Amino acid sequence: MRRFEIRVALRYLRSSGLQTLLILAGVAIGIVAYTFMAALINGLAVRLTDDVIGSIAHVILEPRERLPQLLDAPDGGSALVAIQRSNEKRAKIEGWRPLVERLERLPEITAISPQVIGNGFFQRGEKVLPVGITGVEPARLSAIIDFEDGLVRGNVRLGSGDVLIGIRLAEKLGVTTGQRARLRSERGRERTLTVRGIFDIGSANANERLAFLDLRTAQTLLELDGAVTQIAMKVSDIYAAPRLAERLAGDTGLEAKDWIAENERLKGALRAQGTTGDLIKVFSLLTILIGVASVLLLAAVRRRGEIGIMRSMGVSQGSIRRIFQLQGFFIGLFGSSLGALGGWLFCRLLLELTVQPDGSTALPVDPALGEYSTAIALATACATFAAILPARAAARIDPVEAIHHD
Amino acid sequence: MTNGATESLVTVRDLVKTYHSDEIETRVLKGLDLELEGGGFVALMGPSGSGKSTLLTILGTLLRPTSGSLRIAGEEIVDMPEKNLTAFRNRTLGFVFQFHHLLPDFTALENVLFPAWVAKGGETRAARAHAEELLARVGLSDRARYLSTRLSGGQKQRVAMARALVNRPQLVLADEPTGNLDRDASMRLIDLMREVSHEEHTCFLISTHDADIAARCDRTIHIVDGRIANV
Ligand SMILES: Nc1ncnc2c1ncn2[C@@H]1O[C@H](COP(=O)(O)OP(=O)(O)O)[C@@H](O)[C@H]1O
Ligand SMILES: [Mg+2]
Repeated sequence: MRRFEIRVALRYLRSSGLQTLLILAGVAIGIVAYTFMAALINGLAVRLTDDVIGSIAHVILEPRERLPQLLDAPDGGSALVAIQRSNEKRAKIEGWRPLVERLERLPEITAISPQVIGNGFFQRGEKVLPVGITGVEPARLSAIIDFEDGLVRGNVRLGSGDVLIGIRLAEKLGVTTGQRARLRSERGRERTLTVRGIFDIGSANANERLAFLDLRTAQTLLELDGAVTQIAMKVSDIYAAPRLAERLAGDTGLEAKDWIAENERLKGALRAQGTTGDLIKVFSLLTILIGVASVLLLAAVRRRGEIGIMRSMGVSQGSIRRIFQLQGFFIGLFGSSLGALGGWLFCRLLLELTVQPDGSTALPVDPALGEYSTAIALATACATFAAILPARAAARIDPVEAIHHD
Repeated sequence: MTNGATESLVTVRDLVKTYHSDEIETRVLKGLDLELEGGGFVALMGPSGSGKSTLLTILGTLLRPTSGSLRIAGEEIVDMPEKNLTAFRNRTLGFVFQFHHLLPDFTALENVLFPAWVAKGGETRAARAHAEELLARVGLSDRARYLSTRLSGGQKQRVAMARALVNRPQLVLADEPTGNLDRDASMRLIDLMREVSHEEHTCFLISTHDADIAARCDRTIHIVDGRIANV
C-alpha cells in the first residue's frame, strides 16, 4: 500500500459528501442494531444466569449410586473417601472433613459447604407441611445462598435446634421469628425447632419448601451419624464448572454434578436467544455488505474518466484497486465506530428511560456487553470485502475508452 | 538527459493499428514510420478521424498497436508487460488531453503533484517545491489551492501542462490541447509549452487542426492515409 492511495481514497470519500454520509449512516445503523442486539442478548444471558447462579451450587459432589470402582481397584490407595451404602439404601459421604479441607485449597473454588439433604414435615397445630431439609455448618451458611441478603426477619446465627425458613412457609405455618415448630424427618425422628430467621430468596419454591438447619441437628434428625450427603461448591469461573466437576469426579471417586448440566432449560433458553441475536447480527452485516458494494460500484462507474486520467499518469491497476478497497475499509471503520458509539448511547438512553423507581432497570440491556470491538472488526472486514468487486471493476476500466469516450 | 546522436527519443517502425468493433474493421494506422528527437516541439496535423489520437495513445503506451515496433527513450514498448509500462508512463511521459483535464476532487497544486505522488508513493518536499515552481511558471501560483473545478478552461489546461511536466518527462503528448480554448488562451498555452520545451529539453508532440498552432512549432508532421506524409 502506498501513501497516495490512502490520500486519494479519503479524498474521494470526503468529496462525495452526501453519498458518503448516507453510506456511513447505513453502516452505523447496522452496527447500532448489532451492538444493541449484543447488549440485549448478553445482558439477558447474564441476568438469567445470575438469577440461577446466585442461589445454587455450581458443582455438587455426591456419593455414587453404586459403590465406587476405586474401592475395587487393585491399588485403590488413592481413594480418599469411603462411601457406604447403608442398609436402608442411603448413600452418604463419610470422612468428608479432609476432602473439604483439600477442596478449599483449590483456587478455582470460591466457596464450599458440606451439607446433609433430606425430607421431613413441619407440624404446627393442625398443619402438616412437607419441607426439604438442608443441614449446613453454621459458619458456612451463606456459602451457596446469600441469606444475609435474603433475610426478611430475624438473623442468620444458626445454633443447635434453630431453623431458617422461607417467608411463604412461615406464613403457611403461621410462625414468626422466635416461635417454635415441630419437624419430623423422613426417618421418623422429631425435634422442636426455633425459627431464627425468615428469608426471601426469590424463588417461590425455595421460600415455601426449604428449611435450613445446623449440620449436627440435621444429621441427628436424618440419622446420618456424622456423615454428609453432598458437598456443594461455588467456583470463580462458572463456565469452567463442567471441567472442574469432571476433574473432581476423577479425583475423589464421587459423582460430580455441575450447574450447567443441571439446568438444561436455562442452557436451551440461552442458546435460543443467542441464535436469534446471531441472526440479527448477520443480517445487519449483510446490509452493510450490500450497501457498501453498491455505493462503491456506482462510484467506480462515476469516476471512469478520472480513473483513465490516473492510469495515464502511471497509476497502476493495483493502486486503483487499493484506492477502492481502502474506501470500503474506511467506510466500514468510520461507519461502524460511529455505530458502536451510537449503539452504546442507545442502550444507555433505553436504560435511562426505563429505569424503575427503585433504581433497577426493566430491560436486561447491558451497555457494557455490546461487543463493540467485535462489531467494528466484523463491519470493517465486511465493508472491505464488499469493496473487492467494485475495486476490481475500477481496476479493469480501460483507460483509453475512459479518456476518449466521455 | 539528451539521447546520443545515434538514437532518437521516439522511433516508430511500420506501425499498424486496426480497430475491430461490431465486426467492422477500421484500419487507422497502415505502416506508419516516425522519428522524434529529444527536445523537439512538433505539431501533428491531420483531418478529424485520421488517427492522431490513436497514434498519441499508442505513443503514450495506453494502447497496444496491432503490429509494428515502438522504441521510446531506449525502451522497447510493444512487448513490455503492463506493470513496467505503468512505471514507464509515470517516469517518461506526460499527457495533456482535450477533455477530462484534471481530477476534480483535488486542488490545482495537488493535480500537479499527483504524478509525483505516484512516483514516490507519497508527497516529498522536493516534489512540492517543483510543483509550486511549475504552477508559477504557468502563472497560476495564486490558484494553487483552488479545487480544479473552479478554474477556467485555459487555467485547467495550464495546470494540466504543469502536471504533465512534474516528473520531468522526456516526452509530452498533447492531444488537441487547445480544442476547447479560445484563441488567446490557445496561443498562450502553446507559447508556454514551447518555452518549456526549449528550456527543459522536453519533446512535445501536439495534435491540432489549427495551422497557426502548427506554425509556432519547430516541425509539423501530417498523417495522411494512416502514414506520416512529407516528414
Ligand atoms: N476504440 C475504437 N474502436 C473503433 N474505432 C475507433 C476507436 N477509436 C477510434 N476509432 C476510429 O479510428 C479512426 C481514427 O480515430 P482517431 O485516432 O480518434 O482520429 P483523430 O484523433 O485524428 O480524429 C476514426 O475513424 C475512429 O472512428
Ligand atoms: Mg482525436
